[in-house]
Amino acid sequence: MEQTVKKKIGVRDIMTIAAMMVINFAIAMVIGTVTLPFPAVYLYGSAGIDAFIGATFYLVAANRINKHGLLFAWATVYGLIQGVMGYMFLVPYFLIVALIAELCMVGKNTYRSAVRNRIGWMVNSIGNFVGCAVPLWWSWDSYQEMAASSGFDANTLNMQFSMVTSPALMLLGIAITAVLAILGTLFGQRLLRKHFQKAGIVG
Amino acid sequence: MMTGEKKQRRIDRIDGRTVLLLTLCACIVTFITTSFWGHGIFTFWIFLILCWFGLYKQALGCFVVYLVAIVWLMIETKYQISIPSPLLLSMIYKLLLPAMPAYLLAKIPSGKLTASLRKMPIPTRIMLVLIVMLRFAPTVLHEFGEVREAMKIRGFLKSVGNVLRHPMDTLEYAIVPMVFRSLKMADELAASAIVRGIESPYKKESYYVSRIAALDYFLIVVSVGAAVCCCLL
Repeated sequence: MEQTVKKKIGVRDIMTIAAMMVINFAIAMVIGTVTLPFPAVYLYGSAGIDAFIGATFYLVAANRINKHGLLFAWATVYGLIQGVMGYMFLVPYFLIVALIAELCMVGKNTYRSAVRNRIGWMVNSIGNFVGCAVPLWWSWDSYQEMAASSGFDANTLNMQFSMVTSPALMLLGIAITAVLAILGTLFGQRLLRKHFQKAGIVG
Repeated sequence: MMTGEKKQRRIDRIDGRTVLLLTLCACIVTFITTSFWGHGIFTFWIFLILCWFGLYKQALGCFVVYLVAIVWLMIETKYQISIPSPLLLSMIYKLLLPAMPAYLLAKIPSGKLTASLRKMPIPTRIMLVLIVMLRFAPTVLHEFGEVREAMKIRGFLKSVGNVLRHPMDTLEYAIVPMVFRSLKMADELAASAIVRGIESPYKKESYYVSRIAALDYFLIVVSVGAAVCCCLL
């Protein structure tokens, strides 16, 4: 069996990561738009739904590339995009998430291990969920002012505030995200076996 | 109307870093400003920039949608109407502003963009992922449309009930062709880039001249100034 090699990520790998990430982001944007009118689903479920659907794209990239640094690049690029979107303070946060997620993949051949991929992807998804709360912790007052002027109703704001200030509710959100991320990797592994491994596009 | 060649010449004159800064300013304004006026003024400035680069149709389209969303949102907040969702309208008007300079960024030839971004302190591999993602985005949207059409023809999307009854099957029928198509394109792109020497360890020169010119200075100064004023409004 081929082992996770220490070789640098090459151009073909970069193209694979970029292709899978673009689809993942396009889906995340659609999910964000669809769940937005339902505050509870948007706050507690959107990161989890992203993780569920995005798992397949991550697993395709992971099994195809099988090199260390993939999850780090994935989370770092996500953080950089958040930074370009105005949340500069999220860049160091996502670098830490990227580092923790990559540390979960230490070892040989881990990017082709279903269990290790499940753990790595779950950590990355939880990082994304908690990342949604960071801007609110950062500056609740200015966020509240901005949200009120943008048409957010009082219910949504209260729900957001209670979510980020109550550890129990944060844990609930983390649990939902983790479960959906795990289910996503199970679904993704099934697709890998059924289609992509048979076609020979992943190892 | 400006000819295609003239439009491209104007786009070729601008540096990728300037458009990246414009996008950054647009993002900062959209997330920081709490005033509709501040937001509107900066959107109008970006609208003018897009028009100057000859992207009239896209600029006008975005601006009309922006105005409709913002006016409808004002009506909704005043009369307590909630259809369509104020959150959705708010997302539309908030995201349209950064989407406008991002569109201009996507119009810059990838070689020129790579040459510009190479001068920034970003690791090469991360920079390449960002550039390829920017190039890939319109293609992926097009591919989504193609897959949707194919699913419709085969009867997988004949009704909402059918989709809700078999959500996992629908997801599988959408994901699998998308992945195959995208990986094929990724391989073609990689082959093209390797043939052009992207893996060469030597210092790379570009066909495009990448330097901040007078036009870039003008756009940077006015945009940063406008962004600061709009955030303070």
